[in-house]
Amino acid sequence: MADTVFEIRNLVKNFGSNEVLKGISATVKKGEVISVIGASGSGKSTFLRCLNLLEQPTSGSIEFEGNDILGKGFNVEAYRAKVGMVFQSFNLFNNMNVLKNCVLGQMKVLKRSKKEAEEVAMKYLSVVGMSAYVNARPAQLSGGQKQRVAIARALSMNPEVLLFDEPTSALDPEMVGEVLSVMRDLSKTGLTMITVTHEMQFAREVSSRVLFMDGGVIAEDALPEVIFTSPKEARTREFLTRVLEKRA
Amino acid sequence: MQFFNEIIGIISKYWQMLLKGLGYTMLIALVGTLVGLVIGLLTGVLRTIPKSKNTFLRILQKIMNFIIAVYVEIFRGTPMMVQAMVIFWGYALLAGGNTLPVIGAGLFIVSINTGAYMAEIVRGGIMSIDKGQFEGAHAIGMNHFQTMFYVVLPQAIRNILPSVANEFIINIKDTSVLNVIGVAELYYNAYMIQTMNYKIFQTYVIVSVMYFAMTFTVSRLLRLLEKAMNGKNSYVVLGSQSDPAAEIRVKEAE
Amino acid sequence: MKKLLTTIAIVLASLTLALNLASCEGRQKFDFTNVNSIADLNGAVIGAQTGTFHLDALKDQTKGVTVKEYGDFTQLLTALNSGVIDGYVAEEPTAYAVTAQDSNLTYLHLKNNDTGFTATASDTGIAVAFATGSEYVARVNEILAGISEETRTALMQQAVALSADPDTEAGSPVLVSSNEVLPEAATLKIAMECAYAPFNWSQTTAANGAVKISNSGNSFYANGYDVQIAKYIAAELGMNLEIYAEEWESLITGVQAGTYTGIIAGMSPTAEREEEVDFTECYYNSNLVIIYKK
Repeated sequence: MADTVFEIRNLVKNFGSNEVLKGISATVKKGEVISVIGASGSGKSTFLRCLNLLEQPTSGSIEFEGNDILGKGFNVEAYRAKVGMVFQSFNLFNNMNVLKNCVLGQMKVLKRSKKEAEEVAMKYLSVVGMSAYVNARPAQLSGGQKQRVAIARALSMNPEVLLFDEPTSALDPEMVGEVLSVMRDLSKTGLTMITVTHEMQFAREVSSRVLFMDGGVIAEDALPEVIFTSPKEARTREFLTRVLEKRA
Repeated sequence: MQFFNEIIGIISKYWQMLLKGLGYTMLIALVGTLVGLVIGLLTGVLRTIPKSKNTFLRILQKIMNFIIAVYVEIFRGTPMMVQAMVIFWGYALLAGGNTLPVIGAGLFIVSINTGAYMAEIVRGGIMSIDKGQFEGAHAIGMNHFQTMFYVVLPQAIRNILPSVANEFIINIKDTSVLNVIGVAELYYNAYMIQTMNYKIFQTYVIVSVMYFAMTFTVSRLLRLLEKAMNGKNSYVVLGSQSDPAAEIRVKEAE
Repeated sequence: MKKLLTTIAIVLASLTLALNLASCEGRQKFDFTNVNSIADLNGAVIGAQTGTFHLDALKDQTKGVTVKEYGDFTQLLTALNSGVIDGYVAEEPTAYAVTAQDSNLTYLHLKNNDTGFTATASDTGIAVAFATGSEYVARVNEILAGISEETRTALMQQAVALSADPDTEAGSPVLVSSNEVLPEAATLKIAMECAYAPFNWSQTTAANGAVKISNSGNSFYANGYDVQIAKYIAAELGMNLEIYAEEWESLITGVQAGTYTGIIAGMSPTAEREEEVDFTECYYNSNLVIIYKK
């Protein structure tokens, strides 16, 4: 199956005696735009962080394009270069300006020349609408601007998959829109995306598939229209009622 | 007035020696602080390597961390004067009477002593860096050393600069203990001068002013360096909505 | 800049004030007029250098004396001038040198084993030290035997005279070897404090046959009775001389380590030191006296 990106089987993650992921299995195909929703503490972020090995899974297996990423001798750095990550708290390098933030990984990990790296960086900074700010340092930008730079930084590595870990949760409400609009545009390019989000509107309109997590397992895995209109599971319905009521 | 005449007399007779001593003091303090900082950065990078999955490497890591911890504790826990005596005479006794060149020995002692303090300062500096900076770097595929070298240490160095300045100033003063092994730094020369002129008070008043001039200058220069490392407080936005060639300068609120 | 200069001026001014205050008469001074022997020192405050026979003798052989210890002779002198002590124990040559430099000072002319301290030759005589078992001891003893009592006295008198103004050329040396030493000959490395006039002191020029101090970054020269003796011994041995300035406490370690060949530092051959190094016969014997303010 050439178009399978992730094959996840029975993934378990414990923090001490606290079992956060209790056996997750899922398949992600190339070009899918997946939203992961669920209450706080349901394990969404841990699941995502396990995917690019920021957390080491306790047991289970993850295959990326047919290769076991938990195996001995697996090149984690090269793998991470292919699986980009956008964080809730941006995590831009504070000691560098916007351009250098987008260039560093390309030069040090992908061994691109400075000139090529800068061209690529400029291309993606234009995509996110931040090309005018190449000279600014992270501390001089707003949260929305920072997140757009962080997306450009991830895109500059030309990843095969992009993971978003609650990308708008730390933003002021008026800045959420600019980031979601960039993500919406990205979803149309055929890039495989997995997004942990609390933005139900976004999950419904943009995703090709929605995973609902509850208590460390995937409680429901379905098309967005199914999840949002006629969920099979009672707890999915409960969660959505609670969340959508709060918004209204 | 006699006091000032004596001061002037000592300066005009021994100014060359005083300056030479000042030169050595400055040289040893500067090199000692820089080498110490390098030792600190190196141990900082080594001590933060994530636990290896390989058993052999993990044991190696444990041994290395143990050696670093022992080094830090011993050199922080004993006076530099004692270290100087032990190293200088220990070497002489082992090497059949050959001695380390005194200036070289002085540089070595101050460097490793400072290194022990710097190791802890750098460790604190690295711990003060937000975990997100590490994750941001790891997430684009950078390894531990790249992350440290390009992202974490530049920020940590900026944060620890006040402590480094402190070490530098302490070193300027503490090189005086090297007189016990005959390093011709400022205090040693002052001591020799007062054995010749029998004027302890006047000689050491001059020397105290010289020490103060050094430490004061250094603390001000490093303050300037700190400011420079903070970067410009403005940036340029390239192009405006109406004119793509425009440059808008944005100044940060102070 | 102006601010800085003002600050420095204020600091210096307050220091001067402090100095003047410190020199005020604070303590009842001991009167030396009727002192003829060490038995008459009752009530005096007397200093001596740490780690010397002087200090032991002062502690053991006097009654009613307050004993104060200092690390070196400049400190003793400063303590005396500032009134902290009434006098301090020194060897007679040191007393000549000090009183020649400062007309406010004089000394009690005590005679060892008579009016002064009870002392053997190993207590107040001074000898050259070499590593235990060194073949130099016998050879140097031969050389020392060739220096007459008169020459020793003349050499000491010259050293005392020179110590008052060491950087000015004055007369010709008393003790000169006729031996020519080749530059490629072996080196005799001699350690001393270079801070114990008139036995050994530091100066800034090579005047009066002073020898460069090898470990002081070329800034200082050593001269004095010990240095002249060292020059003579080296020449007679057919060796080149190097002088090293070293802390009193490190002299013996330096010889044991082999860093220095020998010590010529006004050092007395005490029993404790005999256990660590070998001594030659004494090359000078001096009375212990007490320096005080007139």
